[in-house]
Amino acid sequence: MIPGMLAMIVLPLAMALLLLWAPLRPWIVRALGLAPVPGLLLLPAAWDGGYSSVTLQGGWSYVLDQPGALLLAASTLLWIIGGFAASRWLAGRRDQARFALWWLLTLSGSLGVFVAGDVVSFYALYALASIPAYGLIVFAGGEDDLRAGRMTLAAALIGEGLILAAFVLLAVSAMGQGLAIAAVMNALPQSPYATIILILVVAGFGLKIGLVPLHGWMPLSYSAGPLAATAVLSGATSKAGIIGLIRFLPHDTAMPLAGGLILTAGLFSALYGAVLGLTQNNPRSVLAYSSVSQLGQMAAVLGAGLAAGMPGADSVVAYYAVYHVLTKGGLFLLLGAQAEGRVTPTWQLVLAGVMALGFAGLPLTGGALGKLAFKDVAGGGATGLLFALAAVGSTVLMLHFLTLVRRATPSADRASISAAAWVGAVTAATVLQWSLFSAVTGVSAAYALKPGVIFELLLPVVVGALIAWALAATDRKRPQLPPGDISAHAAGFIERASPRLAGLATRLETEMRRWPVSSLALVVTLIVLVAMQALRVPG
Amino acid sequence: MPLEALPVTDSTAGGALLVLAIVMPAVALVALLGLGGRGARTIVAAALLVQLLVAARVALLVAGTQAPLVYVVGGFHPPLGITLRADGISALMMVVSAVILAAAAAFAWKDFAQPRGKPEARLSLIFWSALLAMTSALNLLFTSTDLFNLYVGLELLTFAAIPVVAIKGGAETVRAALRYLLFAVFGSMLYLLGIVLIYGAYGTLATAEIAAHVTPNAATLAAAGFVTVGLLAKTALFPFHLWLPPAHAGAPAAGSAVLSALVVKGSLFLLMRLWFDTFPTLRAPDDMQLLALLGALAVIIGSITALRQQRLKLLVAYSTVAQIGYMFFVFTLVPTDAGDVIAGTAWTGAWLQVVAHAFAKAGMFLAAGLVAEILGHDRIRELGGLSAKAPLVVLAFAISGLSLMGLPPSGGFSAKFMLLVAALAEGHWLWAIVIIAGGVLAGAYVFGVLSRMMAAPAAGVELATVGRGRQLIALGLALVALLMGLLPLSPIAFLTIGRLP
Repeated sequence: MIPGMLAMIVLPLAMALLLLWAPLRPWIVRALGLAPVPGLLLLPAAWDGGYSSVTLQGGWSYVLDQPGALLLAASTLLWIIGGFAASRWLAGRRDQARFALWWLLTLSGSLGVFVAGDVVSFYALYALASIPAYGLIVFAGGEDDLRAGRMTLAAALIGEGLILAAFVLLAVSAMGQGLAIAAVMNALPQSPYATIILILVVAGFGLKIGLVPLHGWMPLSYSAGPLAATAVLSGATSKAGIIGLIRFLPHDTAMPLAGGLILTAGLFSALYGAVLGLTQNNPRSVLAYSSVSQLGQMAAVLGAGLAAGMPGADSVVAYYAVYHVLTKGGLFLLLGAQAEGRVTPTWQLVLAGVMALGFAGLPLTGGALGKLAFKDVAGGGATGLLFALAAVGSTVLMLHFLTLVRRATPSADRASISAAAWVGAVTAATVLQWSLFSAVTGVSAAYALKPGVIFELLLPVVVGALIAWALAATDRKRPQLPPGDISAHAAGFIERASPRLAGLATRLETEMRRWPVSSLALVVTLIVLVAMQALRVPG
Repeated sequence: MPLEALPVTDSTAGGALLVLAIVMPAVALVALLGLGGRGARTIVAAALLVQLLVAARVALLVAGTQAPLVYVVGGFHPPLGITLRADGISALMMVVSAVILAAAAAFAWKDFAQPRGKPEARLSLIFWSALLAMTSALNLLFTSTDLFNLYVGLELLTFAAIPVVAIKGGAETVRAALRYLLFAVFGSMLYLLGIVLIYGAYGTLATAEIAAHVTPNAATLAAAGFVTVGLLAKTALFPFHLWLPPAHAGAPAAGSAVLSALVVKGSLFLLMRLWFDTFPTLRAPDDMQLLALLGALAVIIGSITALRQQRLKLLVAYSTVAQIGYMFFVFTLVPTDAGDVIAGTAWTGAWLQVVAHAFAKAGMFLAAGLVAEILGHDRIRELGGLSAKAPLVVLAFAISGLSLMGLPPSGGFSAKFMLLVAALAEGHWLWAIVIIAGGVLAGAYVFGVLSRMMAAPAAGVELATVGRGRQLIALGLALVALLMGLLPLSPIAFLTIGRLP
């Protein structure tokens, strides 16, 4: 396990370094799909729930546990599939090495973050999973790409700042006990900063998973850049935020208030994403809103687990995420395959429909298994009803997506992602979910075949389908919102206001660079410095 | 953390190395002027190599004995004679400056050559002698134990730096050098005024003697104020930075690297010597909030200004203005009660920041110099094509940038993390927010440049080729900053050698 963990992080970085050598570049671009392969060594841990860890010189440590292994298994497969798709798409392009560089850096962080065992490693790998994505998004260099890239980068950098603050407070709380995540989290419940740390953790990772109202960058980001990149960014790297919440929300202590708030925020996100997604006409943007909704549900389950003090919520959420990793990635790859210039065959549309409705819990899909797994944590009553509502919303949203896909006119772009890529991804999602169910829940997967269970799962899908049908039948024009809605408005406002603020700072700086001002400042500093000292010691 | 009380200290074994470190570059300088420019590079190379060995030996001796090296010049003890002393931080800075000076010299090797058969160019002679003078001045600053000697080191450093600023010629650089000169002299005057007051009050300029007797009377307070403000001007702390951006951006790349990495650190080193070793009992962390405030303004305004620069070298220079700001938190963050974990953390964080910035900034200035050479300009908007042409240069810039942004693993991260731990543990929320915001802004300006470097080249642009060796030098310096990130995040004992625990 241990060599696998290190190889998984180091191999993509080594390949990125080898890009320096021009003769090797085409070979590395061709081998993008092989870069995540060491991650396959860690696959068994998803089933056996084993735990292994290693601490290197200088306190860097890496840990493999079940939640990490689950996310890792799905992400590794998606990165492999995406890698081969990307290689094919890149063939013959002049700037392929640049794409490969950002790809490999993101890959290393995206997989590594699932096994980071201390706060410094986590911070480093999380940054690697977030920041180089900028290069992938702006790859084509269009105006929209640049704006999306800027937004994504801003979200990533601000998120980094927030989690750094949380990590330092954790380190202060656990002063002298090292920086292993387990050690600092042990100290959290007694910490005087516990509240602030939790707020920072939720805000920092919330930015990554697009927790409303921090979601504005996501539709922009997922609508820009090559689809192979969007597939892995939406599928795999967004889970860096989920693993962050898993690692940095307390486990053994029940926190009803904090947990309840996270549950509420997550559910709000889940519903908000599903409804607002309907205002979008770009299938990529619709998928982004679906991510907001799905990731919101994961956060909600984690919140419910925190409220009840159930450590098992971690594995359940990671299990649910497995389906989202591969299917969301797969649907983006489908959009890439569509660009090939052929009409999408009906069987593909049907398959895509089934898989997409898996997000709503369509029985027998992997998504349905995920929903069954988290039912115990999410609970019944009002919460259960809201989760069911989210499923209804997901159904409507996914049917909207399918309409857009069906209607899409194939573009003349010669870009080609093989249909095998997305079919492979969704197949992997289904196989993983079915084979992992009993390992995670302790219940045989046959449970999902019981008529009562199927009926319960089917109900929201049917209701959603009826609503979608009714919406289509009324033929009323749907309201249109710009991708990112209010959050993007707010970001746009900041974008327009910040040059003014920065201008203010530069004007101040220019003023200060004038001789008389600077000299005066010198005198004032002198006087204040001496006065402060003199006041402290009278006489 | 005052100096150990040393009523009468005798020279320790190896103490003479300190004399060598100061005198040898001076001797080489004389040889340089005497023999003319033909052999200049060889003399400088030999001197800097010896310097590296001396610095390494000093550091090993200090680490080995866990005690400072001391040399009493001529056997006369203070206040009559002069004592040289190298504690942990002196040894550290000697090594850092020896490495960076050697790297800068190697980088400038071709630029300032004296080809055979051509008339001697005075410029290269000036550059090499300035480099030697800086070496001597820095070592004098790092090892002196009395305020006047420190003043001499400070002046020598300034006067060695000015020709480097002006060396490219042209109205702009000469103006920059003149600004630098005037402001530096202004700073020196204030410093000198301060030490005159101190001499009047205590009858001695030996730091240890003053530390033993210092009382917060009017003369001392005024003196401390004058000295501090003078040194702030020389360190270019915001808002006294007016001279730094044009000076650092106008010098040749190797010169900029040395100026940003080492020369501003000289006066900062002296400022730390002053408040931690000379007036230790005078320093009340709460009163030092003013310095932290100026540091915070430097971080924020320096970073924003860097973000808005059109030219790469100016961006890098403004980044220096910002990075210097972090170092000024140390005066507030180190608590006065000795033996505190927080004290050790803040102290280590500040020195890591000094060293990591030295290496990262030297690497970045060298990379920026190569960029200008490849493209023939350093306009940030037109950096496209660099990554394909010179990936090593981009890599060097990226790694330096990583440290400036404070992303792990890098010395810059370790420094910021430890400063943050100290700030939050003491409840300085505002300074913590500033440190984090500075990292976010640095991320924005570093990434902005990197993405331009990655862009496709504009049509019809001719890119020049630069030697692999110089690219590797820039990369090597950046890598040192990166590798510093592998140190464990805990107080480093070496930095407290020669100080009370």
